[in-house]
Amino acid sequence: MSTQHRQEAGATPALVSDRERIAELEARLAEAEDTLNAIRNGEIDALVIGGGSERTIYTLETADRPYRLLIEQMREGAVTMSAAGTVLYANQTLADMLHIPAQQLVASRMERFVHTDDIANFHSIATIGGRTELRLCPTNGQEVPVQFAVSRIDTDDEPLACAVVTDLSEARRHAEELSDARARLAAEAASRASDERYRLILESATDYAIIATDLDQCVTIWNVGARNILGWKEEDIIGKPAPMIWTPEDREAGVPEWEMSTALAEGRAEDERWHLRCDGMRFWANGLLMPLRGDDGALIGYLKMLRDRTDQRKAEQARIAFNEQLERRVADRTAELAAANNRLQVEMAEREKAQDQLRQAQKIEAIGHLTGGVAHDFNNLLAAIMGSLELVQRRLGDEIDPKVKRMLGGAMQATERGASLTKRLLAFARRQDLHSSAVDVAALIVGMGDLIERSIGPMVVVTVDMPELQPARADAHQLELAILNVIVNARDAMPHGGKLHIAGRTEDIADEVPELAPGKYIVVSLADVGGGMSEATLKRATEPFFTTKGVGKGTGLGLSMVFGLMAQLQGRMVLLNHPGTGLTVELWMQVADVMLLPSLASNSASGGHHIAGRVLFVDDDPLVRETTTAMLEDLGHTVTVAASGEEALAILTEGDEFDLLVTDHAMPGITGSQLATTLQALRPELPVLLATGFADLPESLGPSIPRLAKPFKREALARAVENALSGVAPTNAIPLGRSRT
Amino acid sequence: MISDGGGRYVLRLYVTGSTGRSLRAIDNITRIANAHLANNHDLTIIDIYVEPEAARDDQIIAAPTLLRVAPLPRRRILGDLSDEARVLSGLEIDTDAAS
Repeated sequence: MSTQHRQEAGATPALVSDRERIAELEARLAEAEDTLNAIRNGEIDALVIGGGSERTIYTLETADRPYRLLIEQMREGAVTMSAAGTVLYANQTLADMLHIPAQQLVASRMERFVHTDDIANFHSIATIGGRTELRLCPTNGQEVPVQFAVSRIDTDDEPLACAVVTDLSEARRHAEELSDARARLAAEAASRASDERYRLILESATDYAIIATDLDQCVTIWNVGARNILGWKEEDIIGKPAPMIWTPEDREAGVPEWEMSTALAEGRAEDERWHLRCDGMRFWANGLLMPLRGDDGALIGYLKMLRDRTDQRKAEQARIAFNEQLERRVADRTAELAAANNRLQVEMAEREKAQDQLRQAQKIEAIGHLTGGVAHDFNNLLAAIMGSLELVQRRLGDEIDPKVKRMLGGAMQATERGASLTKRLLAFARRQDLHSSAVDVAALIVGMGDLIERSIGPMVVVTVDMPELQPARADAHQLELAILNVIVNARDAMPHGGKLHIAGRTEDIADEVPELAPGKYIVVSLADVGGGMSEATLKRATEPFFTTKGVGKGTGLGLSMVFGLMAQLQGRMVLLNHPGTGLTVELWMQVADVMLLPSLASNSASGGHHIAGRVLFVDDDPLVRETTTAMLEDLGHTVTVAASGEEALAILTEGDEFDLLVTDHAMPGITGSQLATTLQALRPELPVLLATGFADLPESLGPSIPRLAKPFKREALARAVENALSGVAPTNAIPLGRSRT
Repeated sequence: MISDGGGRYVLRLYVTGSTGRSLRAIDNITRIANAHLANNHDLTIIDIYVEPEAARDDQIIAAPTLLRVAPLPRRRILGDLSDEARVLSGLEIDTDAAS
C-alpha cells in the first residue's frame, strides 16, 4: 500500500481524501469479509451479541466442548437448576455421587437428594447464591457430605442456578486422617519425650541394674547401673542371652525359668542370690523380675532389676555372727552364773549345816562345861554324903535301930541315884569317865537277854540276829546302859505291843562320811515298829532333857546320853526314822584295834587282904577331905591330908614317906594330874590314885594312872587303894589308841 | 499510513476463557509478535466473559479476535491466528523491513 501512496502523490487533496476514504472503506470491508468468513468457517468460539446495554456471549457448540469435557471430567459434581429447582443439567460425577443415571437426574427436583434437615439451607443458597455444606442422600442410602457452591445466572427469561458439588467425604476422611496423623505425631512426640524421660531414669539409676529381655531372654535394655554392677558394656551385651548373669548352678537348677514362670503367675518374682559379673566374680544381689507387656497386654519380654547387696550381706552376716557370739557368750555367762549360784546355794546350805553343827557342838560343849562343873561339885557332895552314910552305918554296926537303918538305906539309895544322874549327864556331855575296852558286842547283847526281856515287857517280841563280830571299842557297862535306854524308848513307842529286831553287822567306811572317820565299824541296830518320830521330834531327839514322854516318865537324857556316848567313842548314833512305821536306832562303834584283854576285875583284892599303908590324901574340898580321910582311916590306913597340890608337894619334900598318894583332880593351882606328873619324875616309886568327878583329864596324862570315880563307896575306895598299893594294873588302864581317858 | 520506524504496536486479543481457539490464538499471537515486532509491541489478552464492557467498547462480535489498536486505523483479525501470513498482512507488518 505504501507504493500506492507514492504513486498518487501528484493527485488533488480532494481526490486524495476520497481515495483515502475508499481505501479505508475497502479495508473495513475486507475486515468485515474476513470476520464473516471466520464465523462462516467456524474459526471462532463465541459470538458477542449486542442487545441494549447487555451483551450476551453465545458459546458455540464446538467452543463449549472443552468446558463440557472439563465439567464432565472434573471430580466435582456440577448441576444447573431452574429457579424452581429442576435439574436442567448435571454432570456424570454428580450422577455417580447420587448413584442415579444422569438421564434420570435431569428433570428431577434437586431437593429430593438433599437431607431433610438441610433443605431450608439448600433453598436459601439456591436462591441467593454462595456456598454451604450439605448432606446429600444418594439412592444407596449412604449420606454424603458435600460443599454446595451456587452461582446464579440471571437470564432474560428465568434465572438459573449453577452449582458445583464437592464431595467432602474424602476431604473429611483426609481431615480425619490428618487429625489422626497429627494426634499420632503428638502422641509420638509425647512418647518420645516419655521414652527420653524413661531413658534418663534408667540411666540415672546407677546403683540398680535394670535389664530388659525379649521373649528369647536376649537383652534389649542394659542401663548404666547394669554396666556398673555386672561389668558388661551395653554394646557388648545387647542381643546376648541374659541367663549368663546367673551362676552355673542356678542355670543348671533352672532358676531363671523358675523366676520367669513366677513373674508370669504372680506379676513379680523376687529373690536374693549370687549372680555372676563379666569377670566371673560373684556378687550377692537382691533381684526383681517382672513381665514386660505391650500396649495390647501381650507379653513382650521381662524386666530384671538387680541391686548389689554383697556388702550388706557381709555386714548382715557379721552382725548375725556377732549376735550369735553375743548370745553364746550371754548363755555361757548365764550358765556360769547359774552354776556359781548353784555352788553358792550348795555352799550356803553346807555352811548353814556346818553352822548348825557348830551351834549344836557349841551348845553341847557349853552344856558339857556346865554339866562337868555341876557334876564335879555334885559328886563331891555325893562323895561326902555317901562316905558319911557308910561310916555311920559301920559305926552303928548291928545295934542299929531298924528304922534308922531303913532311913540310912533310903539316904544311900538317893545318893546312888544322884550319882547315876550325874554319870548320865556326863555321858551326854561326853565327859564321863569311860572305861573303853574291846567289847564283844554280840556276846554282850546275848548276855543282856534277860535284862532286855524284862525291860521291854511281854507285849513286844524281840528277835536277835547277831553274827560273830569283831570286838568293838566301847565301855561295856555304858554300852549296856545305852542299849537299855534305846529298848525302853522302843517299848514306850509301842504301848500296844509290837516287834523289836536287834541286829549286828560290820560296815567298812572307805571315804569320808560326815562325823565318821574311815575304817571298820561294828553296827548294832535296834528296829521297832512304833510310830517313828515327827520331824520336830527327830530334830531335838538328842537334846538333853527333851522328852515326848509324860512328866515323870522320862528324864529326857536317854537318847542324848546314847548320842554322847557314841560320840565320845568316836562312833555315832544314827536314827533311821520312818514316821508311822517305826524307828531304827543304829549304834556305830569303831572296831577295836587291840585284842580283847581278860578282865582284871577278878584279880582285885578282896576285903580279906588288907594292906595298911601311909596315904597322903589331897583335896581342896574340906567336906570330901574329912569324909574320905575317915573312910581311909576306917580301912586301916594312916592318912596325911593336904588341901592343895602345893601343900602336898611341900609335905613330900619334907621327906615324909608315903605308900600312896590319893588326889583330887580339879583343884585351883596345881591339879591332880599335874601333881601326878610331877611326882612321876620326883618320886617315881610312889603310886598315885586320881579321884575325879569327871573325865576332863588332859591328854598329856599317861593312861597308866589309876583313877577312882567320884562319888565312891567305901568298898570301891578300898579296892582301888589296895590295887594301887599292891601294884596291880588298873582295869581301865588299857592303852587304847587315841583315847583321851 | 506510516509503518516504518514509527509508532508502537498496541494489540488486544479477546478470548472466551480457555476454549480451544482462544488458547491457540494466544499461543500464536505471542509467538508472531515476538518474532516480528520484537519489543515494539504491547499485547493484552482480554477474556470477554471477565471484561464484557471492554468487548463492547471495542465492538467485538466474536472471539477470538485480535485487535490492532495502534497504529491506526484499527484492524481486527478473527480466528485462531494460525495463518501467520494473514496475521502479518492484517496487521500491516512489513515482513521485509522487519527481517
